[in-house]
Amino acid sequence: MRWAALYARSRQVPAAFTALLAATAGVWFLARDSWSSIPVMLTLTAGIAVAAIGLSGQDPDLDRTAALPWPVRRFAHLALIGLAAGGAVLAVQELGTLTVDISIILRDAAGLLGLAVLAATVAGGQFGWTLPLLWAAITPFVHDDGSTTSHIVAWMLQPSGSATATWTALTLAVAGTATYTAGGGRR
Amino acid sequence: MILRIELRRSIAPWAGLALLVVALGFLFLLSGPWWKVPAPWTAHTTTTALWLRFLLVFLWPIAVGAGAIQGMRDSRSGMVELLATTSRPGWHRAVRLAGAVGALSALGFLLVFGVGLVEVLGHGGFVSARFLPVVLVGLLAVVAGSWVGLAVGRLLPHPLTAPALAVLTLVVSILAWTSLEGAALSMPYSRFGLLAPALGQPRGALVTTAGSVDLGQTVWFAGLAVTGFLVLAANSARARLLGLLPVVAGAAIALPVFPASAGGLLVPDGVAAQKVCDGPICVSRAHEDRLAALGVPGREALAMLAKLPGAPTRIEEQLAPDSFTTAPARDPGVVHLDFQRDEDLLTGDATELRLAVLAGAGLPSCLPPSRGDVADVGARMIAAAYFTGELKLLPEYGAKWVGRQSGPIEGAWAKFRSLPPEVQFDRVVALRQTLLTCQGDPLDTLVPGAVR
Repeated sequence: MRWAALYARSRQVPAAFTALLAATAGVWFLARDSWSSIPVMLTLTAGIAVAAIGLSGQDPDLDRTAALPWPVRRFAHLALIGLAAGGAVLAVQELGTLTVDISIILRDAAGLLGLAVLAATVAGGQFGWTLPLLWAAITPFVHDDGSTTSHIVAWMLQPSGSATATWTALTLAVAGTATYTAGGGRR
Repeated sequence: MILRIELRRSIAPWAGLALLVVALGFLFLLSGPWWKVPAPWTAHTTTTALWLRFLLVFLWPIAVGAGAIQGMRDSRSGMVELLATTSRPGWHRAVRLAGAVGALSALGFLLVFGVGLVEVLGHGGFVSARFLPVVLVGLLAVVAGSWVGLAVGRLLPHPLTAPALAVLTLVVSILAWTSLEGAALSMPYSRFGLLAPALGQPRGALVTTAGSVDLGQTVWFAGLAVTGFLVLAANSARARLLGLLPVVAGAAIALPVFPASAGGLLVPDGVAAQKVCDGPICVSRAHEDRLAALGVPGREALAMLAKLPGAPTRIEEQLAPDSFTTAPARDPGVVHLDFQRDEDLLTGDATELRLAVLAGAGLPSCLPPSRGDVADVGARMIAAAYFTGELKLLPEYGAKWVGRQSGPIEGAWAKFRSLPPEVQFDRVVALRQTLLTCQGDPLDTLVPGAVR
């Protein structure tokens, strides 16, 4: 228990969790009357971007000297962020009358988490927010001309049955989770 | 010397590179309205600049976020106390840092415009200096955004600051953008939308931002930039509070200057939309080459129309930007040709130009361009065929779609042609009345009961 508390503190988990709840509640409050897949995407992005700040420790070299099964712990941290972000969106949308399909929320949460983790792996935990935010910022302005490129770029806004979008999200999630779980954030 | 080190060692090169790569990737990898009529970004330098301002909806959060990351550098590396022992005033360092980050972010933005300029030249588009205010306000906004990011990052050096600030900027940018984008979304227009730098889609190649928009945004972003710099350089709470004055003053001056309605955002471009006339025929300067092509067929068509009562006597290019929701403007004395939307017309030969003038006996459709209608286009095709004697597809937007269901129109034309000449004439006069008032079914006016 003591270990978990220290880990949480060193990875900014309390601040990240508070920010995740605040971001989710804030965007939901702004968009509650026009709740659709765009606000869902923005809410998930905001939540995951602020939660991703703790994806690397203060001193990765020091972490490495500890004889602990890090991959399990890293994976648990990721799973916690994903569940918290997705769960918070699922919870707040029950407060209003409009709801978005649960499969869209799961797909977007998984893909965005994968993006955040990829950024954290490449550039360090403090930059984990950059990739999800960048991709989400571009997505609403992509014009759907029916091409595969536009479906891949706008995967977050595709309807729930879209195979292209599901595969894109899945690829990002698996690639991100695998690299981070195995290697951790950048030193 | 220090500036050179800051240029190399700070986040500045990455900020500029991110703006450049994201913008060019977006423009070149995706096909969207920026490649298509009525406002391709390669047709006119002002249109290029307007599309760049559209991109700021996601480029601005990048500039702000990059500034925030850089602003935290001192405290993250634990050297604030060391720097406090130096004898030089704080703003000496702030000038170098802000200069490096601002200049390279601005350079990234400017390079995107440079690529656009090369594209315009390569596509033989229209070049004039009218893009300057649009680009300069965009540059000022990028600099102001990165300086505000630096200031916030320095004030609040917490890992949450950069993502929170970037998310906040993105949400504000998108909200502001939706209030300017008009009928596309349900948000009403608000002057506050102009406090973010992103503009809606241009929807026309002959427009530019109104002077009041440029002026207000220049004052506002200058105030924002000065505040960002002062807060970055200040060392006491009092100096920081005083540093907020410019941004408050900027907002107080800018908000009353901004146009009161969305209609005042874009105005005809003073150079590109200038009328060039040859007798009764006028086109815009951007499409000046059309004047020679239109001379003979235009006069021929006007002579054919002249036998109608109250016939049009002039041909003019339609200069206003496109609207998806309202029908084109109509005028009994003038035939309007839309070279912006109808690409076929822009490259059309004499026959096609003559056909375009004769379509609908000189009057446009009563429907908004996004809604095609067999009755509407069919009636205007038959009216043109009445003068030329041959039923042909009109050189205009949506003609290919109508071409696929031309069966009923050909049937109606056959019926119309079998009528006595006086009846045909009366029906065409009646059609002009229908299209002028937009009341009644146009095809039914020509051939009652033609399409059921």
